[in-house]
Amino acid sequence: MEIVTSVCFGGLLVAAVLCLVRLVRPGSLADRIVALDSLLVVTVSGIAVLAARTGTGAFLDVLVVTSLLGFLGTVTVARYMERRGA
Amino acid sequence: MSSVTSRLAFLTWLVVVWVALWGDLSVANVVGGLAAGAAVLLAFPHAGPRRPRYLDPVGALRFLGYFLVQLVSATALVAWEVVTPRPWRLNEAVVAVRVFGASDAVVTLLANAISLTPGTLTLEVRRDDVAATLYVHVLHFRGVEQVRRDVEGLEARALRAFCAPPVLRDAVATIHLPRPDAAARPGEDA
Amino acid sequence: MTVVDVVASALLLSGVALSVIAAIGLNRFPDVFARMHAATKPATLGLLLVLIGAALRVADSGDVAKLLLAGLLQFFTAPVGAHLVGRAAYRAGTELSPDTSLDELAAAGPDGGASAPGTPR
Repeated sequence: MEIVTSVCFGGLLVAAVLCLVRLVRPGSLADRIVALDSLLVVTVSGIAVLAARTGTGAFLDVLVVTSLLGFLGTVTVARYMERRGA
Repeated sequence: MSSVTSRLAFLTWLVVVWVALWGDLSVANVVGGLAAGAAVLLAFPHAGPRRPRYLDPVGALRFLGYFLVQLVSATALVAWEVVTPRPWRLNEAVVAVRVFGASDAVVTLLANAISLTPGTLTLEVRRDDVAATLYVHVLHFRGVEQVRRDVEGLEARALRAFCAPPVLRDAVATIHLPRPDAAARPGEDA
Repeated sequence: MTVVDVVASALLLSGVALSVIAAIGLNRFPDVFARMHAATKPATLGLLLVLIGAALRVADSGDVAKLLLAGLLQFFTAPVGAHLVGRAAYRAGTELSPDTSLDELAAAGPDGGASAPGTPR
């Protein structure tokens, strides 16, 4: 299990870096929302992999709250974007 | 479902969420969940998803199964395209699809199912008297008819699961009405 | 490793693979709508797989409940978020890529008044 979760962490690291690359590349506001959203999904996956590695759920509250806050953030910025246009 | 049963169902869901968040099924948590859920229902009387008035459990399971198969195959296709080298060329399009609009629950369900599937995304939903028009962004455009057939496959199963038979008869009549591109919506001159 | 561990490992690895693929798609696809197809949704499905894999591994039933709840909420909120971002991007006038062959929403107009046929681009 140690090896499997290490591979998972490596993959998630690659995914996170790629999301960051998209974030800093020139793009519209919507591009940045999508990139940040994906980064958040990677973060939440990371917490879940940590729980699978240790077999304990100490961080699972963080996981639930993070994913819900991510949705709220997406909705908020999307509404802002509709008002402002861009 | 009457409004009382539907509110009770919503309260039950809130209690389940509350207990799951605490991670411990105890009397204190259930009571706390009931109190918090009741407070939410009192504070937001119109909260909660639009529930269908009718439910055919077998139809709902078949809808879910069909949707999951679509989901997995669409994910596999998009994932394959991402990892294979160019040149592929995407052919994107925004297509208007008319769906039966009498049930808000079914329209919401369809729009969400389309949005969750990779390769299709509901951009906009518009209503008129008899139907709703979903504007669907598709990644692999192979003709308007293809997109409409895909949505209709989902729609037919959703209607069978969540529409009572008399409403379903209306639906069969309605979704064969002219499409918007036939330039003759009811109530508008062509 | 037990059978459960093997299944959990397979779920975790395939979920992470989907996340990586999504992140690659985020950088390869031509416009924001294509990137949403390629990124947000496969990543969400990958997260669901990872959550189920983790749920097989944790011992405490309360932790399993939290993981499943997170997955369920993700399942409900992901399409809503995708729709909102897509609609906002479209209304804000985001460029569709040159690979777009038909836009029937443009033909419908900003308030849906017209019922004109789609204009090929």
